[in-house]
Amino acid sequence: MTAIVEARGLTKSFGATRALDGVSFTIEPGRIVGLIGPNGAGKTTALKAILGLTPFGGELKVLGLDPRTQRDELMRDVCFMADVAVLPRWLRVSQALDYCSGVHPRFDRAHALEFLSKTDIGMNSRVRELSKGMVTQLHLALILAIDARLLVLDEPTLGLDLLYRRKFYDTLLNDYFDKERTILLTTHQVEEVENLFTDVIFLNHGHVALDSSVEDLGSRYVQLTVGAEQAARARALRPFYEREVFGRVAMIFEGHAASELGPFGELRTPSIADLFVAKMQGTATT
Amino acid sequence: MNSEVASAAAEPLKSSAAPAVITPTRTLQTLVRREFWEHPALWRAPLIAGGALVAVLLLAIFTRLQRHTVIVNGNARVLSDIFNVDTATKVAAHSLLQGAVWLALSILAIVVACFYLLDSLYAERKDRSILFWKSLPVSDGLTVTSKLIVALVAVPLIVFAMALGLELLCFAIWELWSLTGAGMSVFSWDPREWLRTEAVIFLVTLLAVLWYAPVAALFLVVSAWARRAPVLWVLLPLIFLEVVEQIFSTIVGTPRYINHFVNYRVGGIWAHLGFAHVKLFGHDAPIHPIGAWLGELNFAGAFANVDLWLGVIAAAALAYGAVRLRRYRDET
Repeated sequence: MTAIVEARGLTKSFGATRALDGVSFTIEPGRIVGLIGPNGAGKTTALKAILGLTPFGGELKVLGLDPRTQRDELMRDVCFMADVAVLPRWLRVSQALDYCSGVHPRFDRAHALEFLSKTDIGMNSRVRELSKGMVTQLHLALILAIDARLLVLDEPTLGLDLLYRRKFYDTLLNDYFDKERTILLTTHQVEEVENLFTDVIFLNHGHVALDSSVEDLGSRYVQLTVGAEQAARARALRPFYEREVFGRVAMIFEGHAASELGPFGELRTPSIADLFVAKMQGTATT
Repeated sequence: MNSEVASAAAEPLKSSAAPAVITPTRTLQTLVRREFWEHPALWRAPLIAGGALVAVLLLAIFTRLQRHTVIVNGNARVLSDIFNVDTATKVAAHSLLQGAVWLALSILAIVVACFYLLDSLYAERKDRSILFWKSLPVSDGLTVTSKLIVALVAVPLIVFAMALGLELLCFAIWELWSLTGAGMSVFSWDPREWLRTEAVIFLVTLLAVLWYAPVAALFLVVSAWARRAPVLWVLLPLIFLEVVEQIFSTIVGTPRYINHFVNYRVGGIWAHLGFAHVKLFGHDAPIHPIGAWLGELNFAGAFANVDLWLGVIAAAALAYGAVRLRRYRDET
């Protein structure tokens, strides 16, 4: 199957800062990809490049199209939601539905209405009268009603409380995602959504620090927790990150067999959040 | 975990509807509607002005305007005596009513439209809603076109239609009042004159739209470009250039090109049309009917004017500039 996104050597500079410095990755269909990185890592710039919102260098194909020159065509099959609610404050709910029906060939009004009927959002309300959580629900209703092949979400739940965040991701999984759809998501709240991802891409200082499916993480990375007395021997196998937890040392190894590390202590697959911190902070600690 | 993903994926709530066919015309219609949702002042302002005009008219009737006295040549005279005029004058007065109502609504609409144009590509960047608009399959070209259509087609048509309806309403009210015997008969209905006056108004509207199109497109460029205060970015450079030119002109005696150019782009077409040579209040009759301008003004010459069409070309170029700016202006 052809890739949904194929990026080769993406570059983008803001003055002296290189926001993207030769970034390459491939996103296959039917995946939920987490694009994760600290502030200023280039996540939003990469998303903007994919959405054709900013000029950039390098090769990029999204659904086989070039976002620089074929943006209008691309947006029929791509949907996105930016970090905080960007729905205009003067817009009424009914107008938002009318507008989407009037411009988007794949917008299903009935589907949006069905979703909205489960919320407290009134059809005549203006966006400025809704709470932040409700605005996000409205935006989600519009997006879920669009039969897009790629959905791009940039910090979609920023500033929402836990209940709204949970509901947001549950809806996304249960009502939207299927094998023909692909979701690309950035978020700071990695712990909350790491169960959602099928793939992760870590970005740091404009470079790809990790690009892997979640299934493969288990065979590539192992977290070993050892007592202080075993630490020195385990350290000899060169973990690329370690930290102390309640007098014990947690180390993360790449490319070691479980049988090799098992004798030292407890083994488990590191969580994405742990791996993220390890990749961002740790080069090998000696 | 991933098994959750798999089970969720097993029963997706997929959209059953086939993709609708959305032609560029339908998109454009939706975009134009959208503009009126965001800027209801575009139709409300002329509507309110029209309502105010009717209110003033009714007030005049209820305060028995006809009994008021005015001083003419040192003599106190009752109004109803002064307006005791012949039919030709009443027909001309009616055409004056048509023109006055249209002019009042037009001036208001021009002010509203200027602010609308300056705001239209600026506000969406300021509140970041541009990210929502751009998440839908609408090109920058269609977006900019929709804003020009609103300012140069929809608003002038609304004003033309509202002025026409309002004029008829005012005339009807006045006539009913006259029929009661209490009022003054000031206006007279003459279908031919009435149509001729509407034709003049329509042609003047069309000419104004074409002549001021580059100004509208320039406002869109500034709106798409300015990081703040687009109104100032339109006015300040112009004022600055004029002042500098004035200083040079006074000291060194250089010709005032910018001043002439601005003046020409503001009023030039009306000179081509020959407004200076027609009259509204004539010597032979108290009021000169506007419909007569149809033969007196040089419409053919004005519409054939090269500068008019150069302006239209400039408007297209500026609109293209606004499209490019909206496409790549990235500050969100």
